[in-house]
This record gives sequence, C-alpha cells and structure tokens, in this order.
Amino acid sequence: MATKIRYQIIQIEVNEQGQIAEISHKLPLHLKVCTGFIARHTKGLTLANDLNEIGLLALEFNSRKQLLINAMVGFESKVEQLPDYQEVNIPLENGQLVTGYYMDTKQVSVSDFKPYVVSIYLRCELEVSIEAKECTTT
Amino acid sequence: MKNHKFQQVRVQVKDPGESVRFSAETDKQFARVRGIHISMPNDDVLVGTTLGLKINGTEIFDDAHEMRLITCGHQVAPNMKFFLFEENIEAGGSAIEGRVTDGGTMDQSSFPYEAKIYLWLVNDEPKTTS
Repeated sequence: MATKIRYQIIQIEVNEQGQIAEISHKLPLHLKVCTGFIARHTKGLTLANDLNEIGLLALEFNSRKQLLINAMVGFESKVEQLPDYQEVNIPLENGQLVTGYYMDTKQVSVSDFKPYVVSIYLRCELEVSIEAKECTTT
Repeated sequence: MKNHKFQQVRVQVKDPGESVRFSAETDKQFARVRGIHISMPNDDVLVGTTLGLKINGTEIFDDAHEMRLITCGHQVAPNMKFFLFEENIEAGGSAIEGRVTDGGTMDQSSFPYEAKIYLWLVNDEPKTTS
C-alpha cells in the first residue's frame, strides 16, 4: 500500500544577529493538507544549556492568503525526548507557496554570534482524509 | 510465531560530511514496519546528520531529514524510543534503501562511527487508514 505522508523540509540560514530571513517555498502539487510541523535548530550553535527561544517564526500558506503558524524556535543542547510534531490541519491549494519570516532573537553580542541553520518540517498528506476537520493552526 | 522483531541495519561513516548509501531487506516473516529508532555513538554526531529512507520504493524520509527527529536519549523507555509510522509500511522482504549524511560538525577524531538503524517489525493487524 502506498503511503500518503510526505515531509517537506525548509531550511533557513541565519548569518547575522537579529536577521530577518524571508521564507518562500513552493509546495509540490500533490500535497493536499498539512497536518503537523516542527521548527528547530539544525546546526551551527553549540551551547551548554537549552534555550527556550532563539528566534520567532511566522508562516503563511497558500501564497500569503493565510497566516497560520506563529511559533518560537528553541535550542536543545542534549538529545532527550523524541520530538513531537505540532498538530495542525491546513488545507493546501495546488502547488502554492509557503511564505513567511524567521527572526533571530538570540541575545548575544555581535562578536559572539555564530551562523546557524533552522529547519522547518511540514508533515503533509497526499489526500484529504474522509473526515473533514476544521482548520487548526497555532 | 514471533510478533515483534527489532531489525538492525548498521552504517559506517568514515569521514566528516560523508554521505553513505545503504541497502537491506526487511525480514520476510514480518508484515509491517511499525517504527524506527537510530542509535548513534554520541549526541554530538547527530547535529546536522540526515537520513534518507525508502522502503519498498516508497519515500519515507527525504535525504535532508534530520536524524534528530527520529531518535531520543537513553533515559526514554525502550519501547518508547521508536518514531512510530502512522501508516502501514509493508515489510515482508521489502527492499530498504537509504542514505546517511554526516552533519560535518565533528573533527576527524570522532570517526569512523557506526549509525545503527533499528526497524521495529510486527505481525499485528494493519491499521486502517482513511
């Protein structure tokens, strides 16, 4: 049986303190609904402790028609729990853009700043499930 | 008849940033793959390291999928360590193809290391998917 879940990965490089990075990512035509997301630091930072916030994320779906995700991105110094996807239910129009912004809010001096990468994982499905659900977001 | 098996696939990474392809086959005696867990020699090599995975020709994870999203620490109970697939992934001798790409954040002294990929194979009734 063919699977219907596909993960879309959007990577953002942050090269300056306080940088506002613009996101523009075209989703494939066959994706019909976004059912979850995780936004997390991928590489670059090496800190001894966890940080609740290194940046803020806003994501719009269906080519800027809906601002549906607002989230803080944190830093995890150690591997602990299995990460959980934030559940959402966002119907996708065919092949439209996911757009938005990531803003670095990590408060360090300019000389201590190190470039890093943040990744956004969108869990999408190829078909809309039979049960029609209300659109849920963050 | 056994209903569970943890099938291990070992992938050796020799150099920083190296990308290693691997292939295997799921045990024929089990019907589906319930979950996956990755065991690495230390947490630091997980940073930026990715795993692409196809089972039976179907893409499960893209090549850029971070390993950190499908693993956890040793304080988590054994059966809770697995990232569970929400769909029915057929086992029964399916071809496994994958690619491990090192994150390139560690120096040569951490190499070579072995990424151990555990597939949780089961024989229970498949879930019904809508």
